[in-house]
Amino acid sequence: MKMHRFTALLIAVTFSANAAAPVFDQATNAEQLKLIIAPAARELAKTPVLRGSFVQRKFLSGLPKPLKSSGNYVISREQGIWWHTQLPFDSEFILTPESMAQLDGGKVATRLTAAQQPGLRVVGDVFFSIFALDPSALAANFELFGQRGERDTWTMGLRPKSSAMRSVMSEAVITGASRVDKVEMWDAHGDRTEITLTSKGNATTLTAEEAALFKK
Amino acid sequence: MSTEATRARGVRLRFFIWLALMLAICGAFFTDLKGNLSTETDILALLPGAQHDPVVDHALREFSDQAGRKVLILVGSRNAEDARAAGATFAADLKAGEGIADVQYEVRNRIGETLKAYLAYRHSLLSARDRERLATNQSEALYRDAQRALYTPAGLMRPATPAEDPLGLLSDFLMAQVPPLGKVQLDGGVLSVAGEGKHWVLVIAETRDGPFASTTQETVMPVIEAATEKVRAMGADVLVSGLLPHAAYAAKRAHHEVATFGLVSLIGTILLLLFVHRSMRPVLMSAGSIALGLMAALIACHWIFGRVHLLTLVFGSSLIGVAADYSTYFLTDAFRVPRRWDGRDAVRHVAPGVLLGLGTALTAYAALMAAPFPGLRQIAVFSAVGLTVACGCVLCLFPMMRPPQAPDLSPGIEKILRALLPQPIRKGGMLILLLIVLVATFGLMRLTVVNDLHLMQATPPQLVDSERRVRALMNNPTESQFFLITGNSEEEVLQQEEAFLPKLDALQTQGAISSYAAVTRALPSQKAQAENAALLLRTAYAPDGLLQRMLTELGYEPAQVAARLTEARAGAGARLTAQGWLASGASDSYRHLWLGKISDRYASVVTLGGIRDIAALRSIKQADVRLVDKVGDISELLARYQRITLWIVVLGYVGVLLLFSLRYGFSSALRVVLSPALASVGTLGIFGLIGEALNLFSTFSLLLVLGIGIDYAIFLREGRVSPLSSMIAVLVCAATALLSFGMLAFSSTPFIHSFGLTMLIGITLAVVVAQILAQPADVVSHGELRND
Repeated sequence: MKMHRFTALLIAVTFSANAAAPVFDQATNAEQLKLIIAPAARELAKTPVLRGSFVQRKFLSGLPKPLKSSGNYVISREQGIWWHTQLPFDSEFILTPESMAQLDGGKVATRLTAAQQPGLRVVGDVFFSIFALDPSALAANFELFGQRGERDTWTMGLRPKSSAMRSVMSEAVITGASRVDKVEMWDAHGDRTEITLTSKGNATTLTAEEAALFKK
Repeated sequence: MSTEATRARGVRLRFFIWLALMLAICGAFFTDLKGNLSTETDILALLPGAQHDPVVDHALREFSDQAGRKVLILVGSRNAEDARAAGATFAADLKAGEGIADVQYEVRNRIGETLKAYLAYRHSLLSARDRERLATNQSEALYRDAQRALYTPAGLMRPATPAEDPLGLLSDFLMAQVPPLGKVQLDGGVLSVAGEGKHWVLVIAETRDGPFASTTQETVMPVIEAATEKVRAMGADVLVSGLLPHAAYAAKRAHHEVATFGLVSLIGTILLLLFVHRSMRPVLMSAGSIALGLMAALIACHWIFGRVHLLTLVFGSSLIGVAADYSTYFLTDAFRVPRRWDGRDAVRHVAPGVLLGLGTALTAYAALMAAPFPGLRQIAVFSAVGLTVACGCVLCLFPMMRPPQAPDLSPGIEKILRALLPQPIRKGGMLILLLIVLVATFGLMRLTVVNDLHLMQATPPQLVDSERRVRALMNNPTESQFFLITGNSEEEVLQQEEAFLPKLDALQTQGAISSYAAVTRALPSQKAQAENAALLLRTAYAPDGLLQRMLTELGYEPAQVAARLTEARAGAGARLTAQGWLASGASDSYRHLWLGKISDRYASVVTLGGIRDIAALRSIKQADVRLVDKVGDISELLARYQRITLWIVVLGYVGVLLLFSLRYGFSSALRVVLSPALASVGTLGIFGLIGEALNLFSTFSLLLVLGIGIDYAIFLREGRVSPLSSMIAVLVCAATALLSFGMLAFSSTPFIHSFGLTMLIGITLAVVVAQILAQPADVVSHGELRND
């Protein structure tokens, strides 16, 4: 049973310092955070299903220009995450509590079950924490930082508590108002991923087509 | 007159010589042994190695040693937070405890070290999947995977950054190493599993010393128990699994039994002797001879084996019963000539019977010594030395110690004894013999034989239950069935394993196993690394190959691309060695599978998870690769030795019958041999009727039924001249034997129980049959009796 150390291998690595965003000067707790992100939390509490489009830019250290991709997403707190990249090529990433599947042009290219990869859960936790903004769930997994901006805007900083999660990302900064607008994640190599989100109507339930996505 | 004087001188001489010898034994015991004696409690140490190859046996022991140090603890609660809090408390308490080398609770992130260790060798490391893709022209799929890592969340799962590992080959190699953990998930940095309506978190403790070391049992178990109490008070549930709790329980039980049975046997024997002789002196004499016998036996075992097994002590405590026989034969000789008995004279009358008995016993033990069974060998040495010394004390020391005269027999007891004296066989006796034959006939048909590992160890139901629940919750790999790979060099072992794994992959696809873990996943052979490097140079690292394409896509300038490509091609010459790997943090998760150098060979282990078809695993044939099935092997081993022991018993009867035919003639010899023989088949018959299965240990005790039972028949026959004192001797002997061996029937350790129950029934029947079959006293003895 030595192997469990290994699950950490799944993912990338230890802490590395990056130019910390100012939000990390403002340590906070779940209660305060609730107040800070109140506009978004109120909205999200009503809507367990989030959908929209995204633009992702990945800044790799030592590379001149970012790698850009875009597409649509559906996130259901119960079913999982469906992340549909359309550009530069069509690819679906479907993460449920039991498995992860990648589809190219609608065909399954890879599938991993949680039994094969005990660390899938970690990736799922990172995602749900960031998008669902549940302060008590966030407090369980992260050190919290936050500040209010102008009008309804806010900025939230997350630092994972567990080293397993730190190997997925070392820090995240989320900004938004009545919803999450932008997510920035740093990993241990100093690579940064920036995701800009445009909401296309949150809902309480999945449509039949959406529900079918998670069965792929 | 002069012969009298010579004899007296001889008695004196023997007394002083033996006394000097005994003083030497006492000296050796108190100087060399006391405080120095180490006891072994590992039940399996009693068994011979299951493999014929000593290297393999050694390798197995090494692997089991490591595995045995782990204790798995599941801490469960209704909700995840409580479970985590309780788990953290438990882990902290264990960490603070003594005797624990390592506690794993929060998963430590070693990926940094791992990456660093592999980075220089990444151009010769490939996962099986990538190797196949490159070799079979599916490089587009590989390229697409690398692209997905750049543009989709799939990249989150890659341990290495695209800048260092553009094609994701190192990431794939590392991810292929992640072993499946069954139902266990990484949740909030802690290994967790859901089941029984609860959330469980996993705590793994590694003890500093092995589970059979008394220091481990005495220091670690209390720590675990205290932590369990504390966490239960917090409302959490705790399940413990591992060798340690079992070993600790078995050792505690055995210690307890040695103490209890030894004490009961001792007190019973003392009371019996007091009752027979009405004097303390015989009790002290008996006790002294037994104590000296035990001391000598311990010294012998210590010198020969280095340590004494706890079970030898359990059997040894019953040796008291046999050793007491010799004093009994001597002391009850007083009943031969009441009031006029002289101890110095008794040797002449007692010695032939006693020496014949000792001779038979030593012959039996010699046979046991020959059996390649370390456990039996130690018991044989212990018993043979103990009995010889006790016997010497009786024959050399007792005569000079002024043993007391026989007390007057009360009329009631004398009446009973006279009724028991040998007579021509009567109806009642015939009926009993017939009954025994009937029981034997019907019982033998229903007798079952069971030899398995569970015989070896007493396990309380709550431990079994805990173990079963942990297994069900975690579905974790077994450590009792695995493949062992050996070779003449490190490289040979690794190559053997690589040649073997495709066969295992096929079985995994068929569903015979659900997973396996192999060291070559983390440490490929030099040959495999060279092949990987050649393959990369030929395909992905070739001009206009995948690497060049990917570097260009990443946005590197053409000059940078060319430089990186040259660097990769040059790096393909670097090879990861076993030494380098072992010295790095990268080996952490697989090191336990690498056994390294074992005498002049090398070995590794492939562990298996979710075994569904062991026959399919057995069908894999490859030189230097063998399936080890510890539970199955041990059961098979026990069965094999049971057959051997059964043959020794049969041969023993034949030998004794032939030997005694020379002395008594065939028909009288048959009478003598028939009493242990009938007692044995009668015992087996009763076993069949009450549903007690026969095993190696009950078979082993049949040998003792022969040895002890025949003594009774011999003594009744040799002592025909004084049937009354002979009958007293035999009855006292049987009573002490039952007090000692019979007690073992109440042991909670299954095999000691088997042993004891066989002795209990066998000895009882042996006395009864010996009494019935004993030939009547002749005229001479009647004359002597009248003289009383």
